[in-house]
Amino acid sequence: MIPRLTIVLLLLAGVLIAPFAFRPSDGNSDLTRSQSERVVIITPHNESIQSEFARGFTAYMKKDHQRDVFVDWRQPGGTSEIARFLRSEFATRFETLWKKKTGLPFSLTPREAFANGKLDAPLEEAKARQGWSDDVTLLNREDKEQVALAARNLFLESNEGVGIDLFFGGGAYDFSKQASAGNLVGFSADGKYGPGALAKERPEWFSDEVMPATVSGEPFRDADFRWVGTVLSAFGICYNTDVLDRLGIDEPFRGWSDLENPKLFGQIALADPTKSGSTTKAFEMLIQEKIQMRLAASGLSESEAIERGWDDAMRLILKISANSRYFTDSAAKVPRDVAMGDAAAGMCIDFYGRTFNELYRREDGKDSRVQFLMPQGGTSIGADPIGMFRGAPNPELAHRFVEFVLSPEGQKLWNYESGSPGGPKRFALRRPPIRKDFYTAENREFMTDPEVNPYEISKGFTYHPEWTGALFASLRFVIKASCIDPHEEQQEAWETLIAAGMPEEGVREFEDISAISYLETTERITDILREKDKIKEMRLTRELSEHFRTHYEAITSKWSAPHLSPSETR
Amino acid sequence: MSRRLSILIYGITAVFFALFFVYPIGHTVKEAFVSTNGGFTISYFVELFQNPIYVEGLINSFYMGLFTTILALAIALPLALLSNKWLFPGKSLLNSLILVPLILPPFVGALGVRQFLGQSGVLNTFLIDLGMMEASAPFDWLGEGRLFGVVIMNALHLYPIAYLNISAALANLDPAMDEAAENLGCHGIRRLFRVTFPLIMPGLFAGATIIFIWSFTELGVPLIFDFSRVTSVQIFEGIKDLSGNPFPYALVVVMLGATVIFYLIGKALFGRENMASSGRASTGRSLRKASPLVSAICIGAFSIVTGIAILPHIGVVLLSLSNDWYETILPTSLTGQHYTDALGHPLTLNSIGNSLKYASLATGLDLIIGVAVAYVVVRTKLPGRQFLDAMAMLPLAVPGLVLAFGYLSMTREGQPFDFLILGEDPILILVIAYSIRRLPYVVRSAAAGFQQTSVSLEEAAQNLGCPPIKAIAKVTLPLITANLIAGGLLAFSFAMLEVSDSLILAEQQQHFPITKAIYALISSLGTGPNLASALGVWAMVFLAITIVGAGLILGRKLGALFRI
Repeated sequence: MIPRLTIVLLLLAGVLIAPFAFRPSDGNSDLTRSQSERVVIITPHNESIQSEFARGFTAYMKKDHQRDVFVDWRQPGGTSEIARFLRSEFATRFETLWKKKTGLPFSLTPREAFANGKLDAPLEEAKARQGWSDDVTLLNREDKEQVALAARNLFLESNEGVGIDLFFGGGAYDFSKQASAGNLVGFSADGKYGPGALAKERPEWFSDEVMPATVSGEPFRDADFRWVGTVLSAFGICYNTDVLDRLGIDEPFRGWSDLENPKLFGQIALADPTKSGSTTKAFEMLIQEKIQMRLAASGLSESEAIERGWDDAMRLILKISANSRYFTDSAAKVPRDVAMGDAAAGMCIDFYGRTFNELYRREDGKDSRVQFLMPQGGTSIGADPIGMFRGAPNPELAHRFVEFVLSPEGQKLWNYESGSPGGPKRFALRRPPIRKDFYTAENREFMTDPEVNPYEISKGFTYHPEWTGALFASLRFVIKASCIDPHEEQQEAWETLIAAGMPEEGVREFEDISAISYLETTERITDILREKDKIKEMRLTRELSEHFRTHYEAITSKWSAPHLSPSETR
Repeated sequence: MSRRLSILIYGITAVFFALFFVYPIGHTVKEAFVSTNGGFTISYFVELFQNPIYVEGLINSFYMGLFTTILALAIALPLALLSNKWLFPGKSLLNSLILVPLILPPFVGALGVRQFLGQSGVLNTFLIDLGMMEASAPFDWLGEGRLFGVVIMNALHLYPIAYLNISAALANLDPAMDEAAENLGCHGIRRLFRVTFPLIMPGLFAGATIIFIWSFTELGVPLIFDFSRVTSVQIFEGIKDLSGNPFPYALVVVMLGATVIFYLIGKALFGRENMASSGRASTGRSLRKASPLVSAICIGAFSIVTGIAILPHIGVVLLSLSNDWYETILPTSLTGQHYTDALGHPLTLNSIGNSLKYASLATGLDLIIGVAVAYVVVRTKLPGRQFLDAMAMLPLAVPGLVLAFGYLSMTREGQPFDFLILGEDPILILVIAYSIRRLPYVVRSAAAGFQQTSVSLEEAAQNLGCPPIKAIAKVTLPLITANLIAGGLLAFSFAMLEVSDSLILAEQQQHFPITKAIYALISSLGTGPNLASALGVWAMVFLAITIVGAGLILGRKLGALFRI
């Protein structure tokens, strides 16, 4: 037993020591840096972005300000985990404040009110009226409206934080939600630091020539500087040329409509709009593209075009969904599955598409099995923001970080080649910087994607928020009810139709989207969602998904092979 | 043990559960009982049961649990019986390798599976090369696998749990029983069914319950197969949904309720047996040396089963060493660069130390509490102990995120348990969280051990003047050491591979355990999966050495420790 014991212990020791042998010689392995100043940033950004910006920022602070700083990244998960985390954190902190200041229990009313942006207008009105008092001890706890307004006011006036300085990474939608909740602020409590303060210090950065406020209908920053775009992104289609060959698809992809090809059955990878605002945006672009197409066709008024376009898009979404393997919340899963041949094509973010294209370049350096394209007219360029939290523990350092990210030096990290002067050290990030003045000949020399200028690309498309902006949440809802929940039945129906040779009548039946048409959605569905009654929502989901489920099952039984006469089968 | 002491232990364990299990879950799921205007409601539940999609999910989950358990038992039982009876070359090694399927690291494990079962994966390439499949029409194993695929993969992952528990039970059998039965004319298969099975029921039940509950609520494997019509995936998706609807919490409550019901039914049917042997073995058991044919069968059976079960692990290993691995049986080129990059990453060193710390402390805590709970349940007649038993199993069933968010909320500043966060170090709450989650293994193992060890031994010791506690410590505990080691090893290994609490509670990089480091590394652009696989391989190697080493050192196999 002793020799065995010795061997096992030696092996264990070896395994435990191995990592020490590999540790980097530079001081970067110290994660605590108890001596340095710290900025705490919560982020869904991937590890490469985190390490490049941490490295860049600490170097910049050392060189230009002679300060030792370190970045404390927090990553509870992806965008939806972060949203949940922040909601829960702010609620917990505010609960303590509420109880202390008012002595009242933290019941449902204050809990729902304090982060409710819709109360801001009524609050302004109430304050303007006579008799408003900031003194919460005078609250009448029976008056729910008063309690709600008081809660909202208390939160907005407070400097209650969650121990985090910055929120870095995500979509404009996620940041708008945080801003309207009141979690993000443009200025620190003393007014000296924050994106708003930065805009005052450097107005030339926030001019139309450098960083415009909106581009082609998309907001690139919040009007009150509660969030500011740092880099640009767009959704597109990545696809695997080998798989397309295997499936017998010769025509190159041009846009979303190519994904409804029945040959692609079971081979499409989709992102889940119910988990990500950016993905919902991608689907919204699909709709806007269809509306544009209807408008271009003569004879239609704008409202008619919107209605028909929405319906067209729903039909397309149903078919793409029927072709898809899954709806995933993981942004990286789609390009990875496409690259490994488990999907022919999928919806993915631009920098993933470019990275994977580069990674799988063949030996001759020419072609890659992974290609990426941005569907013309069907995509919009959006901003990927940064924002400062209410009650940030170190607003001054947060201010410096934002300044660094938006500075010409910081912007280089997004699209310079790795190892180039001023660029990332380990891996190229492949993302288009937000500063318009970045796209110069000098910079292009070192860029990984010199041919990509999103400001040029965005000229080809304008986002019209008035068409579909108000239907954002409803869009998620109808996709879930018509495609995600009854996905199995939907796939079966589509498969049956394919096996039956795509009979016109069958396809038309499949395309019946009357339950989620534009009129239905804007009138019935959106109204119910607006009530914010969760049980009613659940009931509506059930109704809709049941409707589609039985609808798909009916198609499957009608068009299954045994029902066709011999002359109708192929 | 005196009644007062029993009640004290009962009380302490019950309070521990109430604080660190019921409270955090309650905190998270209470939303499922609150209507929009703040009042109590069960409407979410009513809606749930009226929705065929969720009902189907529950039914599928049940099938998932049932078939996985049956298949896992079918795999483990013959192996355990063979191992218990025969001596064959390579036995100690094969025996020790039995547990390796359990130690598949999270996140990268799925990638390892995909390398084999993907459309351009190893299996298809192999079949295409053999001419058994058309290159233009590779079979979509992952897409078409669905329930069938999930059950097989689950069973291959979980059968070691059954094996461990059955082996320990077999080891505790008094050979005199067998011989007596033989003498009375009961031979072979008949003896197996009439004598052996009833006597090892506690061990069988221990393994079966863990496997059933685990697979009934399993999340990772259905996700690999994109099989979303099961309750666990519906809960996961529901929690992440941006709309913030609380219905997934209603599903959680239903799933937990169903788990308790199934567990109690199972216990009533199979787990009541308290067939402790009358004493320790009165004769020594000698293992028969197997003939070459039987040896070949034994070696073959173990090797094939283990070989198939560790294909995902091999996938992870090869991923960690490869650049691109696409449409080929083996990666086209190998490199050690990922190990240098991963092991040298600032996150890694810390995360390894952290994981070891958290897992060891949690296992220690588990052993104490687990033995206490098992004792109360098996040895005392206190009312409500069955409920305590069922509660001790529930951590297996609770969805990770639910408990994790519960722990997070209750340890925030100003909340009742904020003292558990030392400065910014979450070590205390992490250890408690890990130990609650792994408790079922120790409880089940210890309970099985207590059931198989006659109380008359303790009573005899007390008659001879030994105080009750000392009797337990000096007589019973040593006898159930095999069970405790089995349970403890499982608890430790799974604590090292824990996901949800690690992701949510370890906020700062300096506190990351290995699983969160893997999660962070996987998101690196380009070689992320390879880096994460390298770290995953490290975890696998460490755990494999621990498990195999323990098996080898403790003498041949974990089950056959104590023969007099």
